Order: sequence, then structure tokens, then C-alpha cells
Amino acid sequence: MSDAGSPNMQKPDDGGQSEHLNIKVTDNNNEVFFKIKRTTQLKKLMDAFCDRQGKSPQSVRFLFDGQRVQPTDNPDSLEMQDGDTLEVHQEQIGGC
Amino acid sequence: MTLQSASLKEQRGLTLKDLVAHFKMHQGGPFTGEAHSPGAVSEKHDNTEGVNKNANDGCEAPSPSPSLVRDPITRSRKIVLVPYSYDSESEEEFRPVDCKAGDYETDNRETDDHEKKNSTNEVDASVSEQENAFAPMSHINGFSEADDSDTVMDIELTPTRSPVSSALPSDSLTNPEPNGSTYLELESAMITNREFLNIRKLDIDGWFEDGTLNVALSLLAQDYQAIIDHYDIFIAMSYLGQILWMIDKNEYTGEDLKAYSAEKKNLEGKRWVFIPINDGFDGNSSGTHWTLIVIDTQQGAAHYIDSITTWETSNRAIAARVVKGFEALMDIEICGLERRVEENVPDQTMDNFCGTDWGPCGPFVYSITQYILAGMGSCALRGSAQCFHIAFRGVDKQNFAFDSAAVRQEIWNKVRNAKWQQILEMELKEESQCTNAKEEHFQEAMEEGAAFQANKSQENEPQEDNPGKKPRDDVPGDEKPQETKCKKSKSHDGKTDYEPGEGILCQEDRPQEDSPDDNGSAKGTPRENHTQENISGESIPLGDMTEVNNLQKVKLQEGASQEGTSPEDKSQFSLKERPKNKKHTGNSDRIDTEWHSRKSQKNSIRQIILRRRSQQTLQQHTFAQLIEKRLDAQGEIMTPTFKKPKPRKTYSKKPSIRKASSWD
Repeated sequence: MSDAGSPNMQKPDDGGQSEHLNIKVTDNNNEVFFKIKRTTQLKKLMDAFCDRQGKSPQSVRFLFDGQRVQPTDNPDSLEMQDGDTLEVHQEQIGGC
Repeated sequence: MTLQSASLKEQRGLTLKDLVAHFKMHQGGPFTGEAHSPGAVSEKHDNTEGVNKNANDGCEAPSPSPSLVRDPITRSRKIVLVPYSYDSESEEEFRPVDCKAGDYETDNRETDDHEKKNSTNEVDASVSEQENAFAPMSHINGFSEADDSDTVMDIELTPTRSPVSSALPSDSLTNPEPNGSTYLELESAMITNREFLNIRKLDIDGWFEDGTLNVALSLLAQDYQAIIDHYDIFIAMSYLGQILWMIDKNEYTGEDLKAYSAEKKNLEGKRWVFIPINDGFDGNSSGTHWTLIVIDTQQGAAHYIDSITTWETSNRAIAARVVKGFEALMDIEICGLERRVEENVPDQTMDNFCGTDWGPCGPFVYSITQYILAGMGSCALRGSAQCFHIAFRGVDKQNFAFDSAAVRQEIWNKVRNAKWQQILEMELKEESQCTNAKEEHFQEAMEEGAAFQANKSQENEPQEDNPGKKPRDDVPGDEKPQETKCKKSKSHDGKTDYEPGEGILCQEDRPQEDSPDDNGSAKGTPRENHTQENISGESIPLGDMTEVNNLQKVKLQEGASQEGTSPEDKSQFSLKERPKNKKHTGNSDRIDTEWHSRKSQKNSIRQIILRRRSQQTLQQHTFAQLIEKRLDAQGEIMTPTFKKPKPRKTYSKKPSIRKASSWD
């Protein structure tokens, strides 16, 4: 169940060491580290995380500093720093 | 009579303008004048839409009854507020008079005037009694305070929007593609097309997802911004509840909580915190039910509001965990918040005027939040510290009058209007960008005009700074005579060389400057000598010079015979002097041919330059009238067309011919 402390998942990067930063993506149970370029859309990160966790991208919400993150955002647009965390929350629905 | 009603009675002495003036102190934006009772949240209309809200027992999904219409004559927008009507048999309970689904038709925006008048007249005194509360302000620019007694308000919007843009939303706006694309993105929430389309559905598809509820609460917060600022209220998104739940579940402390500094910063200094709760916070499922927690940080109490609290208590554990997480994040004392479960809460189904809604908990959370905010607004007039209790304890099934279908319609309208507003803002932004581009273009045009003016003044002056390398580089041997000619004027005027490339101009300008030369044949000799020295550095045999002068004389005579044929012929006059360089090549025909070709090239280049300058001037003039005015103010920008007389002047002067002939 718990993959906490799992080895870093290095995302294939495009070179340019200084343009990269490490981002931790975590839900309640798992933590996955990604190394992505600052200008890379977070959609790639989201898809990679969902693939790894077996979740549908539509069923989860990625939050940064309490704000929902769009797939078209990138670390630069969110002013993310190295080591920042993206939180993953399950979508919520209610009616009854 | 309930406490809520009593409080309203106390307020009757206050006018609506007093209320508006009071809350304008806390918000710079305009307020609409419509008022409603805090005890009648569901009947409260959307000011931006004037939506028909009918507690329809049949509860078919209502379509919007657009109230923003445009006067075809004045082009001004009108907000048509369809008044409420109440069942005369029950003073406290309001019922719809017209509860037909046809009344909600989307395209039926122009309701029958007769019906409007009738329904207006049916508004009884109970409505006017409830006009002492607050209505949400409109978030559409240009709305102004209006008389609440009118059902139709003429509102002049800013004239910067085109009539097309200001028209009611298009079909793509009201019926977007049912996919996961973002329909509306706010600062802290977003909603997809699919969620937007599901808002008004009453079946299982109408269950509110987090995006829908968060956007609805965000828009609600915008409408009640004055009250929120006054009471230091924070309306959280559902994600905060998830985070708080996780904080308590994982027992985060110290360093772990530093990761949530952003959330903590948002909560600091807030008196009231509204947090929607979902039973799917544990992540095992997407959840099934929405509830609400209202935390009073000053009184140290957390009020749990559940629309199914009478028959379902399992969600209280999740709410308690969220409250614990809040305590941990905000460093609240170990005794923590007093957790109160509000029992006196209407049931989402039993007390719902819409009995066919299969997912009313989302609309209920929105509606109860709106109800509390409105109640706090009324309490603000009395300066009551117990605003929540006064506002909330007045809730009963009749005053609350929950109608999930109407609430869905209200949310749908708010989201659509917000999207519409964003589109209009985008258009305005594009317009401003276009204006900026015009300004930049204007600046460029001004710079070009200034540069052209500088060039023109340079052309009028003798070309002093060009040593004439260009012709020498191109045709070294053959261009030297031209250089020589320029240097003649130099020797006479004591100035530097003329530009060889502008040899024609050199000669053209010479008569103006060297008019004394016309009779000064004696000066020709020193020029000849000077020229001979400058050409090659070696002495030129006298016989060669004689030959050159003879040839030159013949050429000049030929040129004189062609005089007056065309302006281009004036270049021939300069060419007539060229044969004196024959000494270098010995081939006068070749020299003439090359010289003529070069002259024609120069003329063509000159024509191109003139044409481009005239085009530039035309472009400047057609681009903006301001540019035209300023260019006129600077003058001479249109000179390319006025420069042509210049060669004419040179053409009429023939002293160079006589001068050349006098060399004989």
C-alpha cells in the first residue's frame, strides 16, 4: 500500500541541468519525486503519476499551495521552487 | 414568529439605501438595490440574471430565463427582474404562481409583458417586508444601484463593448461541448464543461463534483464580498477539507505542517471559516455527500451542518477529523473547538420544494452558506456579535424554503455570467492591446518621420561626409572623373568632396553655389590642374586634355540639342563632361556606355527611393489621423513629392555647359 520513500522517479528530461527542479507529488499514501524542466507542462507529470498509481487523471486533483493546478501549468507559471510538493486529492462528489 | 422574522421587523425602519451605504463602506463596488430576507434564501434572485425561481413541485430542470436584454434602440442593457409571487394562503411560505416548465425556456427570454405586469401586481406586502436585507452585488461591470421597487432597471454599461459582444451568450457559451475542457477558471477553482452542463440536472448526473461546488462557492463569495470582509469570513474550497482531514489522519506536527503554510496563511485572522466536507476525503472513494462546517474561531466553536443529519450520522466522524486538522494547523489549544452538530437543519429532501432532485446536497451546501451570509449581513446592521446564531437559529423549514432546482439554476446562471464576463474582459484586453499596438506603430512612424526629415535636410546640404568610395570600389577607373567633378566644387567652395554617388546632385547643386563660376573661365584652369593631380597623381599630357575637351564639347552640344525633352535628360548634361576621362581608357564609347548605364541605375534607384518615401508618407497618413496631424506639424514629411522641382531648377541652369565649353 505504502510507497512512501519510494525511489525517485526520474522523468526523462531534455537536458539543461539548471532548468530542472525536483517536485514531490504525494497523495495520502504515496510520494513520488519528479525531476522536470521549469517550462514543462505539468500534464506530463500528472499523467506519469496517474499511470504509476493506476488512477484516471480525471479522478484526481493536483494542488499546489492549496490551489488547483491545471495540466497546462508549468513550474515557472506557478513559481515553483526546487523541492516543492504537489498534492494529489481524489475527486469529490456528492448528492445524496 | 421566529426570531428571524422578529429581527426583520426591527429592521423595517431602515431603508435599502441605508443598507447599501453601510456596506459600501466595506466594498468599493456598486451594489444593487434588491433585497431579500435572510430567511428566504432560496427565493433570492440572482441580481445579474433576475432568474425566475419557482418552487416547482414538478421540478423539471429549469432553463434560464435571461433577464439581461438589450434595447434594440438605445442599445442599453436592461435587467428584467421577474418578481416573486407568493401563495396568499400561507404568509410564510412562498409558492410559485406559474410553475410550468415552459416558463424556464432558454429562448423564452422575452416573457409576455402582460404576464409580467400581472405577476408584478401580485407581489404582496410580504415581499416588501423582506426587502431589508442584502442582495449579492453584481459582478458585471457597470451595474449601479437601482430602485428596488422597479422590476425593470435600465442600466447603461460602459460603451467600450460592441453590441455584438454585449449580446447574450451564444449557444457555445450555454451549451459547450460535454467534455472535460475547462469551462470557467477562477482564482481558486475551476469547472469543466461537463460539470457545467450537469449543474441543472436533477438525476444522478446532477451530483455536484468538487469543481462545481467550489466554483459556486467562489462566485457566492464574490457576491457577498462586503459581508465577508466585514466579518473576516473565509469560504474555503473543498480541497482545504481534504488537507485538514489528512493532517489529522497522518498526525502531522511541526515540520510537517510547514508544508501547509500557504493554507495556514489564508486562515489566519479569519473569524469565520466555511469548509465544505465530503465523505470521500479518505480517498477510498469519490464520496457521496456534501456537508458544511462553519468554524467560529472567536467563540471556539465548529458548527456542523448536514442536510441529512436526521437519518445519517456517519459523516460526522469525517467532519470531526477535519476540525481536528484545523486545530492542528492553526495551533489551537488542546481543548480544541467545541464541535456542535446543528440539529435544526432542514432536510435536503423532505424540506425541498423540488421533490425530484436526486442530488440536492451540493445545492444545499451552497444555499445554506448563502443563507448564513445573508443573515450575517442583516445582523451587521445591529452590530450583533452573535450574528451566526441569530442568522442560523432562525432557520426552519419554512423560512429556509430550500428549492434545489432553483438553486441549481442560480448557480448555473452565475457560472455562465462569470464566463461571459471573462469573455468580455478578454475582448477588452484585446482592444487595449490593439490600442497599444497602434501607439507603438505611431511612435515608430514618428521616428521614421523624424529620420526622414533628418535625411532630407542632409540631402539639401552638400554631401560632405562621403568620400566617394562607392564608385571607386565599383568602377575604379571609370568613376574617377565623377570624383573629379565633385572635387572641382570642393576646390572652389573650399568644402569637402561631394558624394560621388550623388554626382548628379553635385552638379545640380553647383549652379546655386557656384554662380560666380559662370563667368570665371580663368578658374577653370586651376581646376583642371587640380583635377589632374587628384585623378592619378601623374601629370596629364596637354594633348590628351585637348582631346578630352574637344570630345566634351561635342557631347555637350549633343546634350544641348536634347535639352528640355525630359527631366531625365539633365543627367545627360553631367555625362557630357565625362569624356575628359578618356585619357584613362582611351575608349570613349565604352565610357559613355558605362556612364549612361550607371546614370540610369542611379536614376532608377532615386525613383525607388522617392516612391518608397511617398508610400511611407501615405502609410503614415492612412494609419491614423493623429499621425497625419503630427507629421504636418513637423512639416516636410511629404517632401518626396515636393522634391521633384529640384531637378527642374538644375535643368534650367546651364552654366555648367557654358563653363565646360569655355574650357576650350
